[in-house]
Amino acid sequence: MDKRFYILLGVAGSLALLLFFLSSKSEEKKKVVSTGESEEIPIFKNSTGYSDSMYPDAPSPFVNGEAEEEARNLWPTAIKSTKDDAHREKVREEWRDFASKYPKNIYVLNEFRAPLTEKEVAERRASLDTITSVDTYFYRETSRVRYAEPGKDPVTPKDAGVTPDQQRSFFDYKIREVESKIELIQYAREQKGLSSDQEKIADRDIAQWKKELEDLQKVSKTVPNT
Amino acid sequence: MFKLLYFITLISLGGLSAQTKAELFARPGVIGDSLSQGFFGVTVEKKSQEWAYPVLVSKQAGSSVSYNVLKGPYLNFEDVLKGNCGPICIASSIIGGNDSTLQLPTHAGITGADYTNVLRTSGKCNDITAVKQEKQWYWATWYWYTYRWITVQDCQSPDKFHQYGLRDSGTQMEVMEKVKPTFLFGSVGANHVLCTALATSTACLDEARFKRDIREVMRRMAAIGSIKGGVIFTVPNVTAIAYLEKYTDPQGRANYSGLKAFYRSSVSNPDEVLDQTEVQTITTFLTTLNNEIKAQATAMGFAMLDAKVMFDDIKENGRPIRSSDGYSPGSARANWPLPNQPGLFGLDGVHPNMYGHAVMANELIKVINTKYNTTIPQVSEYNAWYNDSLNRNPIDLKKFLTNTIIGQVISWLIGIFA
Repeated sequence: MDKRFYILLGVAGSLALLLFFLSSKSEEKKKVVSTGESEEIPIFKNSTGYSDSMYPDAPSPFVNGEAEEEARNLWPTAIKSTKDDAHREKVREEWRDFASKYPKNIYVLNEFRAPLTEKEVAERRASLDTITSVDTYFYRETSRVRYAEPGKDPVTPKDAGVTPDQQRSFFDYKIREVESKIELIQYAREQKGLSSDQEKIADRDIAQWKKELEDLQKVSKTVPNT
Repeated sequence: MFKLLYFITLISLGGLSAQTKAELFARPGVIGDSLSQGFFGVTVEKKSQEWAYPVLVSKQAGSSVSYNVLKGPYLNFEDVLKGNCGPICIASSIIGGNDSTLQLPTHAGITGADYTNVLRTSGKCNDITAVKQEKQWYWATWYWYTYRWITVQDCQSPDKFHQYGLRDSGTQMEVMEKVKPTFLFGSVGANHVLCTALATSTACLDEARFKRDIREVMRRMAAIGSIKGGVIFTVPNVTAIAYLEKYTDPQGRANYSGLKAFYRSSVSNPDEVLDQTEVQTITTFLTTLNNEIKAQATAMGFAMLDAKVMFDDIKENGRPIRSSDGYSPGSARANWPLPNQPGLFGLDGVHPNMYGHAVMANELIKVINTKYNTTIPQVSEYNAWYNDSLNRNPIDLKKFLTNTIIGQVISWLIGIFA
């Protein structure tokens, strides 16, 4: 009798354990189904992806389920777009490869070049001042005549408005910039990084940039030396 | 008895309010510029389009707007500087394109547009009213093949934002005439004056063109016949944006002192600053422009947000950010975020970030609710701030000014808005 009782107790206990195990499993499944995108939960529940956050003690609004729903509804792409360290390392590798092939490309960030000397830093700042000054000058002139009466030719100003040195520096930068864009597209194509619709746009863009490059190279030779 | 009447009144008002909201937002339509399209330092892409104010307000009102989803042009500077976007990603976004397209979007706001573009620029032609003379060859008689001059449309390709944003659907105005919206987001005034800040010049101001074109836009909107309401906002003081900073000439020359672009290390030419006289000219123009916007809002029966007053207040006092349990990262300023200093703007110092758009949406919701007796809920600004990557992980742009990419980023920005 006692033996049978203990056997029954053992069977009942095992069954209870099994049921508990199964129910907790199904509860887990239910949770996954209810969120729909369970892999994103860690982003919401803690500050993963903001490891360099300025606000480590900022409480997650997602302790309140409504806030999580609001974020999913209003900013679905932004809340998924946090990149991890593995992605950043892949991007760094891409930059190193690109910088080794196109060292003069203006899009290469400083961190993938040799450190700048103080003199180079000063030159870069002066160059930025010049380029943006000339650029702004031309955009200012363009905006002045954007809605000019048809049929009226603009009059070439007697004064240049910019010095030959400034203009030369501007053309040099613009030429490097257009070349840099073409290099970027070439690289992206080699790495099969463009979508099929972008391939067609890229063909048109490159044709236009090559024409622009030709114009810039031609006109830059006409800048006087003094 | 009184309580019962009060209760019945409340219920009926609630019902009326809900009905009004549903009717108003049955089919929202958007005309607009970079603010409505979601331009963000220095591109338009899916995530920034989603956080743009008309999209937020429509969703909060239980409705939605549809639009062509862009993947550029140009680049997301935050992603580039944070190491999330490398050369392939940059190449792809410089070319740009569409992630998805529609036959007829209900949101037609396009980066760089003003009221003139709303009327004239389609996804195919920079100016649909532009014409040119062309020789048409024909047989004048059986023995003489000759030509006559005829006037034909001069269709030149528009910029990529118009190409990808509007595609085959016409101008922004034509899109609205086809959509027949019930509610209109109608603000496209900013680029009539923002050009002064980016080009540090008043040459682009054109009061006659602005007045002519906003009036024509509103006349055609009224003629559609479907619009039951709308919202419009005034243009903030563009001389107070983060793109500009105070500069005093070391030699004390008045025309070399004033407001310069933040990236300039010095001023070598009076054209590189907005001096006191120019700032006054812009202020006067802005008052005229905003008075016209207010007059149009009244005439159309639209809700009106005085964004100039709102921006001035934020510039002066900041915008408090607080979680439901009382935590605060501080008040946001009218700048891009800096370490321990939340901000409403993106890295160009001109356009709002994700959090900034939530603030903008809430201010619009307030005036819409007041005007139309609706109960559109506010967006949680703490939630927006918490999930805004630029606010949570700020970038000090001034530390990157020796990168050669900066010159082109600025050139691109000026090219769109100057």
